Amino acid sequence: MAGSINVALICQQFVNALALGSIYAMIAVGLAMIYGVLRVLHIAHAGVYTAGAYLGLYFYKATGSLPAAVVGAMIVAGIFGVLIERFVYRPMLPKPRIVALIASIGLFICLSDVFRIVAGPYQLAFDVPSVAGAVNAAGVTVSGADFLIAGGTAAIFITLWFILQHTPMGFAIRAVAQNIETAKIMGIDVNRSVQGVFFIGSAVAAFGGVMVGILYNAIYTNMGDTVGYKGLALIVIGGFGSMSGAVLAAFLLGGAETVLTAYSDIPLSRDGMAMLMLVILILFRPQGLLGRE
Amino acid sequence: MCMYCALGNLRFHAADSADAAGEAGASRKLTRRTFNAGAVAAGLSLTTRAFAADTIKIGTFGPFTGPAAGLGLEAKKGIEYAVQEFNAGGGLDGKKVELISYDDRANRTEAISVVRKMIESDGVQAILDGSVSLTSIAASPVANDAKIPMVAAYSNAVGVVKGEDHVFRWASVADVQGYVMAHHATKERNYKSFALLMQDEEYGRGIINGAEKGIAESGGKVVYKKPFAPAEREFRAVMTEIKALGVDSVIMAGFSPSLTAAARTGYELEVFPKAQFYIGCSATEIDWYNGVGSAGNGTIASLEFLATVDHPFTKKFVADYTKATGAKVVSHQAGLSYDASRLLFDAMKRGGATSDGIWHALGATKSFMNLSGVDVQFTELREPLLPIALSSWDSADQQYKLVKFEKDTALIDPRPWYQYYK
Repeated sequence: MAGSINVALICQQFVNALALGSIYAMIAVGLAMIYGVLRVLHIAHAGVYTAGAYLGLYFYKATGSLPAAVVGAMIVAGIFGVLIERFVYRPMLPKPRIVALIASIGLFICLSDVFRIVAGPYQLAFDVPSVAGAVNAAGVTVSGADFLIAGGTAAIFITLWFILQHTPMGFAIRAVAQNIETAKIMGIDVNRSVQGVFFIGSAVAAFGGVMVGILYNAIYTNMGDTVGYKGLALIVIGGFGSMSGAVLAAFLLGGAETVLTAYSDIPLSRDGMAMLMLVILILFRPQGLLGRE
Repeated sequence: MCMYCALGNLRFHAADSADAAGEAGASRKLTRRTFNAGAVAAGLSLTTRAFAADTIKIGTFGPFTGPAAGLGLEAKKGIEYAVQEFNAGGGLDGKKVELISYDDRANRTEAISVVRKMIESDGVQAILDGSVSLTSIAASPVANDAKIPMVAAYSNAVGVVKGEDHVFRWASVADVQGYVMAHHATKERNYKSFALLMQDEEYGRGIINGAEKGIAESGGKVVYKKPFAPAEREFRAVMTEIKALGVDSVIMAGFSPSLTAAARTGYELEVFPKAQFYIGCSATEIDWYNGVGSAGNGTIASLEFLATVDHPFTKKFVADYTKATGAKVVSHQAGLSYDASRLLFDAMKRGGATSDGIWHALGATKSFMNLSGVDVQFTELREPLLPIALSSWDSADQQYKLVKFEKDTALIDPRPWYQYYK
């Protein structure tokens, strides 16, 4: 009996880690893509994630349809990301990257205030009855939101892989990520590729925002704060600009947080432990998990 | 009534601990010193300023922007409603209260700055503290040094009031809430094993300190204890472990977003209602009502008032307040801030509209009826013996229902807890 309880416990924690890792992966992948092409730490990405969550709620209330809400939020957030690239980052690219970084931080802070002014200071519920409830099998509980997050993450990553590997746009993005000047000489429309990256990254972040809103039944103005700095940590752990490294790091972080939070006696919060893990990893492998020396 | 007479009327009980006795002693020393060394001069200057004005300036501060804005704005709503009610009733001898409010963004430095500003530039006669514990702790020495009476509306940390003889509180000490919940769980429900979830800051630590002491005294056992960061929402790993441990009860201290997330996760993973879930007073913050949904049924909260009791004063207030403000419920911050404002205005009526007069009258307050219609006694530590309304969440009705008003002074007395805070 004790053995079966332990197996159920391990399986449950695995499900928990998978759900948490999926959330982190959705924000990390966009950040990694953007860093890969522009070498800019896009702090305001966390603001786009939050905007996506609010947009999802707005579309859901307007239509009553979750698919419509998700698609609507992803499209509008994608356009928002493109506008950020066009009007904030592009004029700053000739300047040192620290300028774009400062602008990004400023934009993120402003966005939090915009959300508060537009949507109010209170947490809003994102209650979707169709994904409420949970399935319990052999002592392992998987909620409707967990299914949605895991399924959605898998679908998004498969789509991303297809776009990057099998479409002309994906080829252009990969070329720009490798060397922007060479890509220009080869006749690739660099601006369009960069905009494509911002659109995709922002849309994926919006998907993450909607999923997290549903999971915790909560949308709030500063919901991007923690995932924002964790996203940055993930692209460092993954290896700057490495998408697969960022995704791997996201799931490792989800697993580490799950285990350490529940079982360690380290008197640190979940976020504190995540950051400690980052520092230790950087000390031993400064180039990140899949980064090159 | 002069300050010395007012102090003479205060009840100085034998303190339960050396520290509490020291606190009481310090309070007496401070007040005598204040009286002897210049209260008259200071009082006269403040009095002149107050009577020269057309209005009575009262300051308030709290987080109106930033992550904690929901708390500060709710408190402000309660205070503004009380001011409106007071002014509509004619004010004090025809003089109306002018509320001067500042945003502290839940930031300690900002809280110090705005309290200085309202004292030095605006000339407020008293302050209604509508902020959280960490900022209230920072601001209370500023008000105290300026001899401006301040009433903390909903901050529960001992450090807000301890050692600051011009600072009063209209809320329970956090430790009391934990102690009352532990007492209920062990004595009335006979629970033996506990998991404790503690938001790692002043408020959360206080509640869990009280719970641990109560559990230990009753022979219960804490088998799992976890700190978490304020506003944490991810509790799946922790709840999974708690489920495996099979505890009788979980006691949690934190702000409403964390309580709400933990309740939802706990019910989803079927930790609750098998284990009884106890939570602190943030249970009646707006985020709980907005976010808990169908989860949380049967959760027991230690509340400092209950808006659903059948008392004429409460019923009238709830009806008028919800109509005037458009609020769905009387939140934790709004209710306590409303009561703290009424307490201050009541003192103003008895002591006059000067800071010194208000301070005298607040110090002389023996008891005051809260919005649940309960007469609340004051201690010499400027803390109320606030009865704890142990209340159970009814998810069908989306409201708390009274389990019992815990009025036993052995359980709700804030004084024994002072020894834990140096």
